[in-house]
Amino acid sequence: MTLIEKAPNYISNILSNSVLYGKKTILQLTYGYADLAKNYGINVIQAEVTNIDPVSQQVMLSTGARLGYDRLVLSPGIQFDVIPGLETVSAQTAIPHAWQAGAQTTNLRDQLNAMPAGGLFVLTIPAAPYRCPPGPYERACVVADYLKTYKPRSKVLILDENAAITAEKNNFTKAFNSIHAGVIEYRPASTVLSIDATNRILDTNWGPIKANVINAIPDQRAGKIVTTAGLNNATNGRFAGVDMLSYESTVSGAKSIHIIGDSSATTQAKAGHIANQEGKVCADAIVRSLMGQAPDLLPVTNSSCYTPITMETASWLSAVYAYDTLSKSMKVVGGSATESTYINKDQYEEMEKWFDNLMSETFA
Amino acid sequence: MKYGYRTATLMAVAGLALAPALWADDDTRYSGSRDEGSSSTSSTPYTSGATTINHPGRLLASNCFQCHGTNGHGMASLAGKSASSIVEEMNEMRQKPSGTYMMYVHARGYTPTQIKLIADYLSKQQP
Repeated sequence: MTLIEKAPNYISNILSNSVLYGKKTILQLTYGYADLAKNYGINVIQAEVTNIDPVSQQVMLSTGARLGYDRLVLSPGIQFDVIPGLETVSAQTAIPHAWQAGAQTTNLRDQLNAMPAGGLFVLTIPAAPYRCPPGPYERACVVADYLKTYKPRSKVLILDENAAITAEKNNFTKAFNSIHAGVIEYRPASTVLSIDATNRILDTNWGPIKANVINAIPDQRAGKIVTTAGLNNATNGRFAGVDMLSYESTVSGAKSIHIIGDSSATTQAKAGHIANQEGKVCADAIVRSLMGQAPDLLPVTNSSCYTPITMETASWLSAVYAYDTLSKSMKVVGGSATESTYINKDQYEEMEKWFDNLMSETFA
Repeated sequence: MKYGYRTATLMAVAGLALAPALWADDDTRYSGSRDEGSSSTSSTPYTSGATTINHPGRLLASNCFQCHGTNGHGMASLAGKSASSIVEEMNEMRQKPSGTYMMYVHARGYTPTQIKLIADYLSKQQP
């Protein structure tokens, strides 16, 4: 078992909003791969996979090496489209997305710290599917809470390209209309045409909007290697179609290549907790296949997350998915995901425990 | 060599995390002893080590591990808990208002047969 990873460490996107309000540091969200090697005997190679040859079953690495495989699992996350006006590195630094935790997160935190009282923070949300459906709304909530405390009279304007809140609608509606009333303004069906990074002006369907800090989350697609290898056959070429019993690519000729996590096109949320479960379904199918057995024909997965609504309280969202033999897709048991009835401090504490366990399970 | 997969080369390209628990079955992980029955002390066909790979509740139970730890060794540890108590608790939780506690959602997510399989798998893990 070889793990090829271009970054020396993993920085968790989960809980990265808490870096914005100073409750966590990037270091506290950083995980290494050494324990996977030590505890499970996994061979870890730090390199980028630049291409795949599905015929000879080899991957090409940025180091120049080629490695053969019997089974290949891809989990490269997402890459971002470029918003018009943000083509340069300096423009992308001025207008961060902070949707990949690390330097982007601390950049946004520093911009919030430098924001004047009575200022305007604009958050733009792309059309679904994007990584972590409740994430942008969570960010608006915790930024609003931060601004209330540290930058009084400031406002948060959410420009959502979607027609309505895409996840945890009851709790976010409650948050926008009561907990953060007067601070957050939510505008669905918004279109961002371009952004002037120098003057911090958005050109939108509502006209030009000038802000003090702009957090623009771009449209997303599967990680680069998925597109390079031609595995992006779903969602208008944005994500990878997979067989839900094994996560094997549905591209003909891509036998023995599996795609899990945010890069795959499924009915499941693009999020870390469920990506962990997708990994297990995929691995179980591979193990069975190598033992000459069929995969589990009725796999079950689950998606769960906690969502800070203020710097001290949280809600949650949870769903169990079961395989539907008719549509050959994963369907939420009971029809729809369940969101918490309450928003409270106890759930914020549960969130910390959930996060620690999820990371321990994932990184050994 | 009983399991041919041990000689296969697997490769994972990660950007997101991969679950590490996949190849592990408690203490026989890298002991080199995956032969069926080698670590079994029970009369059941799946007790520990390699044999749990074939347990029909293994993949189902792995849904618990994100919060309860790999093979149930984590928050509110489930490893080695009696199967009947797990089934009983899950059945009780199915009756509670689902939005008031996350586990009430999970308890509703599985059929009674699936819950029994999960409970049986967890009960056979070393506490």
